[in-house]
Amino acid sequence: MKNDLDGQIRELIDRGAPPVSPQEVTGRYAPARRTAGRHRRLITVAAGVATAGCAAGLAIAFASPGAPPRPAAQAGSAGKAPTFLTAAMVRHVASASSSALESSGREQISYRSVKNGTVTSAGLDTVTYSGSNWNYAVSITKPLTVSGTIRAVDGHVYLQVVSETGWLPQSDSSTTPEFPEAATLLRLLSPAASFQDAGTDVINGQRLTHLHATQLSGLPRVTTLVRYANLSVQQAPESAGTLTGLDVWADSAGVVHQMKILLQGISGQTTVTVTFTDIGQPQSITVPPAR
Amino acid sequence: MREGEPRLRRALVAAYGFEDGRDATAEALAYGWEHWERVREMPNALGYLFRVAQSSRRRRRVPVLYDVSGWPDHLFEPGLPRALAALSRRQRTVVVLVHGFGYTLQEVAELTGMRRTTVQNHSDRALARLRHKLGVTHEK
Repeated sequence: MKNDLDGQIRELIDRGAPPVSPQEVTGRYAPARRTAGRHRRLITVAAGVATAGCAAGLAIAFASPGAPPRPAAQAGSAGKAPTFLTAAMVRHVASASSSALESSGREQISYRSVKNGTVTSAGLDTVTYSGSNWNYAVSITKPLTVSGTIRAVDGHVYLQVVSETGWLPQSDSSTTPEFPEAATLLRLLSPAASFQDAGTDVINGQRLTHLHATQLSGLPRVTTLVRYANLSVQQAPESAGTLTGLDVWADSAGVVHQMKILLQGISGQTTVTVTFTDIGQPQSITVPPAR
Repeated sequence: MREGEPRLRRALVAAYGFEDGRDATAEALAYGWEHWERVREMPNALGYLFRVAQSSRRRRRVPVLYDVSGWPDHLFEPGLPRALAALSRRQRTVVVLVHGFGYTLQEVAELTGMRRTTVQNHSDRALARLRHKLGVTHEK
C-alpha cells in the first residue's frame, strides 16, 4: 500500500477512471449531416416522380403497411417497487445485446406522431441485416401513403419504390445506414440513464424484464432515431426533436428484444417501438434482379 | 482538448464518481468539439467545459460511488473510497486535484470557478476530515 495519502488518492482516481477515448467522445457527437434522411427521402421523392403523371398527385396506392407490433401484455409489473440497476448491470445488458444483435437479425420500427390530437406521421419500417448488408423496407401511412425498399449489398445500394418499376441501382447513395440500426440504439443503454427494474412483461410470448430510464439528459443524441419525431415535414432541422422517454425489455440473458422510445419534435409527440426478432439468425440479403 | 482531458476527467470523477464522472467528461468534450469554434476562443475553455458538465448533472441524484470491489487490497486504505465519498462535492474535487494530483490552488480555482481562498479552505478542511476518518496522524 502506498503510505502517503496523496498517492493513494491519485491511484484511486486514475485507476478507477481511465482516460476518455476519442471514440467515446465522438460517439456522443451528432454532427448535422448533409445527407441526413436521404434514404427515406429517396423513397418519398421517387414515389412522387413515379406518380407525376397522375392527377391525383399524392394519393399513391401501394401495399398496405404491416401491422404494428402487438402491445405488450402487462404481467407482473404492478405492485412491485422499482429498483435501480447498477452500472455494471446496465453494461451487461448493453454488452450482451450488442454481441447478439451485431451480426444479423430483423428490426421492426413502428412509429406514430400525434400533434394537437391529430396523427401527423405514422408507419412501419422493417430492417433485416446481415453483416454490412441490409434491407430497409419503409411503409409510410401518414402524412402520405408510400412504401418502398432500400437495399445495400456488398457496397452497392438499390431502390425499389413500386413493384412494377423493379429495382433501381443508386450509384450515388451511401451504404451507411440512415435508420436507427441496433448498434446505434444500444448506445442508449448507458448507466447514465439510471434504469429502474420495472418488473416483467410478456411480449410476443416471451417473458422479458422491463427497464425504465429515469434520466434522459445524459444520453447520446441518436440522430437517426430523433428523426422520427420530424417526419411530417420533408426538411426538418437536424437539431429538432428530443428524447422524452425510454423503456427497454430484455430477456434473462440480457439481450434486448424491444425498446419503446418517446420523442418530442416537429411532428408532435412521437412513440417509436423497436422490436428485434430473428436475433443472430442468418438473413438472406441478395443483389436484386436487374430491371 | 486532448491536453485538458486528464484534468477535466479527474475533477469530474472526483465530483461525481467513476462512472458518472467519466460520462460527464465525455459529454463535456463532445460539447466542446461540437462548439469548437466558440470554445477555442475562450480564455478558460476547460473551466467552461467543467461548468457544462456540472449543468448536465445538476438534476441528477446519482450517489457518488467509488466501486473498488475486485481491486487488489494493497493499493490504498480500505476506507479511502468511503471517506472521499463522505466529503462534500466541492471538498472532494479540491482535495483530489490539489493533494492527489498536485494542481495549484490557482489552477483548481480556474477550473472549478471557485475563488482561490475558497479552494484553500476546502482543501484544508477536506484533508483534515480525510485524515480524521482514516486515522492518519502523520503524512510522509
